[in-house]
Amino acid sequence: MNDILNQIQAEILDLKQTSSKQNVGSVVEVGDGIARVDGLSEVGLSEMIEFPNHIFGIALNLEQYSVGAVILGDFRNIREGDEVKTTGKILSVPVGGGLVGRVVDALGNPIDAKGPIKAEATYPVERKASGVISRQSVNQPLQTGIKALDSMIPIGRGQRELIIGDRNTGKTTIALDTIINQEDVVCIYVAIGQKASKIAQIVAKLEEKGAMDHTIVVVASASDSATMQYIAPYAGTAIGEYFMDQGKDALIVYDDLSKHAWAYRQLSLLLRRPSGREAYPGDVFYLHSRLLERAAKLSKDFGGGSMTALPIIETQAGDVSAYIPTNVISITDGQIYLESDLFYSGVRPAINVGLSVSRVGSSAQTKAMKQVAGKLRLDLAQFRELAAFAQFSSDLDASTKDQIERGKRITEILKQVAYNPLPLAQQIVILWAVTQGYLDSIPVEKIKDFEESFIRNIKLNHKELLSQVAEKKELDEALTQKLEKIVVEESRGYSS
Amino acid sequence: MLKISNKLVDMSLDKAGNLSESRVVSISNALKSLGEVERFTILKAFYLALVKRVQSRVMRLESVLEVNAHIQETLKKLISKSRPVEKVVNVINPNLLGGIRIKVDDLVFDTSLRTKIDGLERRQ
Repeated sequence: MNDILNQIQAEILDLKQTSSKQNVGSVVEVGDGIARVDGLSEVGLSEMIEFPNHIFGIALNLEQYSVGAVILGDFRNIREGDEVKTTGKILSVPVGGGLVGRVVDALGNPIDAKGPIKAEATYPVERKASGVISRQSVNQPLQTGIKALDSMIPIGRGQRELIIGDRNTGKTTIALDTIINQEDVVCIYVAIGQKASKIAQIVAKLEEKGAMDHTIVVVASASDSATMQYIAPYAGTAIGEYFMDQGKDALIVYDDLSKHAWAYRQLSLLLRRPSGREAYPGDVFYLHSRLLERAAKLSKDFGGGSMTALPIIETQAGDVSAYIPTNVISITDGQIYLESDLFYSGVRPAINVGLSVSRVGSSAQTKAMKQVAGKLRLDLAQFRELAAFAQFSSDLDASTKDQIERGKRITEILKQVAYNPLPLAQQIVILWAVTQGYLDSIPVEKIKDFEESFIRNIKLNHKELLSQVAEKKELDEALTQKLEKIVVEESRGYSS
Repeated sequence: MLKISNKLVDMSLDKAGNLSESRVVSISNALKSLGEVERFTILKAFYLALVKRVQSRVMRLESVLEVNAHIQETLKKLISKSRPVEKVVNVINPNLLGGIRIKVDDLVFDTSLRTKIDGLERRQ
């Protein structure tokens, strides 16, 4: 008790006879997370302002006599006439290694009841993206552990790859699989406008798979205000940028940007900004472009770190030509398009390989994967064309039939159970086997059983082969000969 | 609109720079003769600018005890160096605990004990 009193006394004695000069205003109107403030003539755009009871807001609309601001706390505690002060600061969030393994809100406050977070620094949520000089082109792969992606739609570190599809098509699962598959990459999962129950399930799944050790979850759930949902992806990006600036690799998932655009539309309409197409404000493109532009692969002179972005967009009835999907498609370096029809026909992950594309990732693909992926893509493209044609004709020549049969087997091999990412070497050996035609004699319904036993066999009895593939990152003649022997032997028991 | 309303406010001042009631009335009467839409818009902007101007020149001096006229005048002169002040209103606010708080337009000069204690609280 004495210590506390002494401390207070010391603090009082230490008080200096200084005066502060502040720019203030008064609340004219408040409601729906928005406040209109009279005065504040010196406030800057996006500057934090302080309401009574330590509630903060951000000045978003600077008008002739008043300022439109979004409130970051409980707006019900703010009254008309309350004094508002400028702070001269931009909204910042705590960043650093202390956040890894934690679940935080959009302001970086912990919400997982695991105690306070030791932050190493604070980063502004809005920050200019890295410039041309500090960047280098994508040259290192980011393995997702999903065969269809790593082979045909490869993602590089620093790339922005959109995951797009209707609801319940496995968008979040792809993102989670990618997070689970990482070892040396710090992952940030930003949940925007999702149900709290779904977020809890995601966190539980990440914990179950041991992925929370390298993951930070930033939450702005459906019950949080539109302001929090608007800030969350920027806060997550700021957290990721810290690791990128430290020369580390980061991965950020925005789940999802459709709801982010809805939150921004709500704010804009409440701020009485003019609305445009689908009632979105005029700067909705800039909203996402400035966010995704912050993903980068930095050059060695700037530490060589990277931040890969996986934004998610939910389409309505497969309409990719809606306003927000087209915007984000044009901003990103490619898209993974998921289809409901494929999902319900059992093709999971339900990736439409024809419409999915990765514009820069192939330059980062390993040589071994390139060796198998080229043939895989070609075989699958031919299969798609012929399969459509074969529906109307029963009389097919032998080579067409062979191609269709090969395509069916490839499709089977590309199916993958959720939350079960496959290491690169295992992906390469199984894809090599199917593209070389060693699985052509196995009935389609037995392909999955074969794959399982083949992988098990190779993991148990031919570990050195897997490690050679992983090390060399190339399939040379000696390796292919060994592989051929194993595949032929394994397929004997399954051949019809 | 901002330019027009500011011009009208300037026209409402007499040679000494004080607000003239007769000028405000005559400008208002002139504006009332405009069309319905224009009249409403310009009158609203004019009155808003007028209120803003009047308020911006009032110095609100908050203190725990009443401040005597001499100190009020000294403070007025001090503040007038950066902002024009026409009137001083002394408000007794025991919540300040000590010191004074001066508000002119949207600028606040604060030496109160209350603000310092609030600052301490935030540092904890």
